[in-house]
Amino acid sequence: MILTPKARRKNWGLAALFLFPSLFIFGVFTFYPFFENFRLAMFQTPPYPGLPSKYIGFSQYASILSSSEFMQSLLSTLFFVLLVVPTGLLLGLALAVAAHKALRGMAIFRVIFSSTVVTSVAVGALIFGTLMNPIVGFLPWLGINPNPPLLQSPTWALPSIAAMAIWQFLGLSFIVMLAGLQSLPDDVLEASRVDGAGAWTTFWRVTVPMLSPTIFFGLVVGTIYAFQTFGQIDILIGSQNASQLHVNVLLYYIYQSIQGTNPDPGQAAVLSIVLFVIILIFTLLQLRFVERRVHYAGK
Amino acid sequence: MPASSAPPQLASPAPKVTHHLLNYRLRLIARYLILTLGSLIVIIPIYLAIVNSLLVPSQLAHQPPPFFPTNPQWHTYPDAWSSGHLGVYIRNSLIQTIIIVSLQIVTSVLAAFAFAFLEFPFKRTLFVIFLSTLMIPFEVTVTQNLSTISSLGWMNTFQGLTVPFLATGFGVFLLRQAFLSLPPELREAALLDGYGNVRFLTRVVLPLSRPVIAALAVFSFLGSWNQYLWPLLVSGNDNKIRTVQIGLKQLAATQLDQINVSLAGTVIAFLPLIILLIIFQKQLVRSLTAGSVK
Amino acid sequence: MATVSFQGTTKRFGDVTAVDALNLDVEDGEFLVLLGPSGCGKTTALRMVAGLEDVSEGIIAIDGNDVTGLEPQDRDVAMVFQSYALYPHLSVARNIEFPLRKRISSKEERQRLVLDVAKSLDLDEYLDRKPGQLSGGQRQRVALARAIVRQPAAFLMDEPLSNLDAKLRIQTRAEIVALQARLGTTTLYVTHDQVEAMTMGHRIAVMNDGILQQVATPSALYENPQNVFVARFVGNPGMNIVTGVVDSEARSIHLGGVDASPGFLHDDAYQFNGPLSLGFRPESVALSSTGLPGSVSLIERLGSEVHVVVTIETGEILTVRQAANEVIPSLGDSVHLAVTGKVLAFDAQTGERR
Repeated sequence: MILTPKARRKNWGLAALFLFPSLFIFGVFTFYPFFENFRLAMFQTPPYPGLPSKYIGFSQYASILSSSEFMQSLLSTLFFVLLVVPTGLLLGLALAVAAHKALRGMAIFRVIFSSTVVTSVAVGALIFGTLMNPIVGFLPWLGINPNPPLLQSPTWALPSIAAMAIWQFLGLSFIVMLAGLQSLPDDVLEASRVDGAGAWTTFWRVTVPMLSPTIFFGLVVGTIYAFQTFGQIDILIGSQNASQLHVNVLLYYIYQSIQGTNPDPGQAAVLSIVLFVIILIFTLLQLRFVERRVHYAGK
Repeated sequence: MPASSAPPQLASPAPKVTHHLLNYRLRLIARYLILTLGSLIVIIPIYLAIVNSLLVPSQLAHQPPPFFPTNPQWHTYPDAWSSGHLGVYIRNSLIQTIIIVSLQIVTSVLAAFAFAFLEFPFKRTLFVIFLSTLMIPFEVTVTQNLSTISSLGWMNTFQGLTVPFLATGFGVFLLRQAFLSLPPELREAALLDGYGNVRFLTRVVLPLSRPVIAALAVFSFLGSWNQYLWPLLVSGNDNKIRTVQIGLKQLAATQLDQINVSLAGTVIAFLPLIILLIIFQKQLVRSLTAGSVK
Repeated sequence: MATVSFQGTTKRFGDVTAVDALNLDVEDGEFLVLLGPSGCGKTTALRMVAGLEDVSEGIIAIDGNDVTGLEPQDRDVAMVFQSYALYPHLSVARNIEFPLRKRISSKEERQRLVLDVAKSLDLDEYLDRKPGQLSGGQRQRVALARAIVRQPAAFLMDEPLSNLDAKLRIQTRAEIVALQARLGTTTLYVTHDQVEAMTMGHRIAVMNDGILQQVATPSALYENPQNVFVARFVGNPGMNIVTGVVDSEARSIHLGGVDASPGFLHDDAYQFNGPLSLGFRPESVALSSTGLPGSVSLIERLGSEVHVVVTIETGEILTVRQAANEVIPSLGDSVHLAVTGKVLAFDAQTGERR
């Protein structure tokens, strides 16, 4: 669309007016705090509130990143992400493949599988808290009574939270995979069948490669989702036990740094930067190693 | 098909047909088996929550716990509503969500219109800046935002709850794509008919983009209704402003002996969204998958 | 009522010159067709008149006034788009009313105008429908109605018939011509279809590669093309062109070194000397016992007439138009061609008419 010079000039003011609200919010609540992190990360929080904070430069990174608490948090986070994302995506894909064909009752199954997408963190936590409750939960109903209970065991607390996160991620994963499946052109799948490939071969050799953009999208979204897990831990485990039960994932660690009696903005800033960098690395890695093999049809 | 392996008998074609039919039936059964198993995974936790919300305290302690409420205690629901202040919390969540959803739509529509239809310097750079906000998770900025909000005196206010979320890079991206997919001739016809930018936006673009705006609305509704970390930090200490998600945490924390009431609260918070899902499934799917198909 | 004129009007997209120094005057009340293959710059020229494209050089004048820098809405022109560009969310009535809303404040007056125009185009039954509920032909008429209703100084039409099926296209063609004759509004009409151009235009401006090739009435364009491009582009099938050396003194024509003069019976062919491209219409050449030898490579039967395509010995391909009741050769037959009608001579290098 090319306009006459006069109209183009008139557009500048309007464009500025239209962009301003978004830019203002982004500036104040996204970019400013993001870059402020880098400044704050250079200052050590004083041991007692009220004292001036002290400039210590990059040594703050060193001291935090080398602490055993940080290592524990990082390992928990990575373990958690590796548990949640692949499982959630595979489960979503399997259910999407099963619910893809227009058969009797599919509409109901689709609503059921999508439903966890609308559950909030708190709802999910309370529902799963019940499921894993040592008295009223699912395990006692099966006659299993682990001691200590799942959510109080250093071994099982994190996998239990992961199970809940998978359950909640399932809805999104299913919706994305189903939409991906339904956007595939039927003719290619039919061609494969006519060419003599069985259902299994067609799925792995044709469907999955053609679905790779969707799977890639799911990986990115799932990774970000998993890194953001916070509320379930806050509700079901709580601040006191998070560390000793090995569920203090990075975000929870950040939360602990800014809440409580002696908040530590310097540490929170360093951890925020680390969280950002890790998410960025994960996304870029997926972009590099997965998208290279991703097959984009057309365009 | 290994037809050659068939024994050379005077066989009618019938066995082959039944073989295929059997195969088809088996696959159908397997498919429904997977579907049922998947449904159980999703439903059992929800079902257990509903059952437990209807039990009397004495049944709660019974081992093994009952899998069906023989004597449903419906009063747990009004109890959760009143003693857990759920009514107030739901109202707060609604206010917070309506502010965020409506203003997100306004800011996104304006910015997306600029990117789709207006010419201005640094357009590409600005668009990249908008997109880069998608790369910065809110959690990374939460520390600083908290001190910004607190220095503005907005702790425990709706401004504090909502203002940081009034712009969305995702919304701008989604709407820009939709605006660009409108036929360019419409823009040109409107120009010839004497319609400037603002009238073109209100009379042509908005009415034609209703479906995608609805998709954005559903997406942003879900996002703000289910927010947890930020409301916990900004409104956690104040009953009057607390949202339903934080309210649920309080309900769980303060009434451990009354798990039935806390689960009734959970169901109250959850059911409206399931209904919403059934009504707005199409819009939701559209917004959730906006980036997945290139 | 107005004239439209291009004065040295040029449009460049980066390195590409889409319209090159176009000089063209559309007279008041005239129906002028811009004809050319796709990418020839005809649509760009039209869009510059509408104000939808910037002008790189030169000016556009409407009724003698320079409008080059004006906004589209200030030019008092109406456009009919190839895709019709109807507002899908508005009813037919509201679509037609749309351009009036900024011009006429009285709602009754607007409704009266809409109804008048709708009646004149047989749209009054459909006023409450949405464009999506109309057939292609009806949509096209709504687009016309929207253009007509504001009584603009000029209509601009960008291939308005190309989305219609063949039969409807012929019918609508006649309707647009009648409408234009009745309203007398200056019309600039873009098409790539030479039949459309021939049947509709008072004059036709043929463009190629951004350059205006010729402006003339349909019959003049057919009879007297100014260059090889126009000769080939106008007419269906286009003019036959063979290249050879003519000696008017010796009354000889050599094609590929071989004397072909027995094939050229008309005196026209011997007017000029030297290397020439000779053009003749398919109806000016016939199968004969002597003349240019060749073999039949394709036969197209169109019902009333038959096109016999012959490859002559130089490899050039010529089309012969025959009546269906004449003797039709078979594919692969060896035949001879004799040019009996008018022959036009073009410069062999430049393609310009001699």
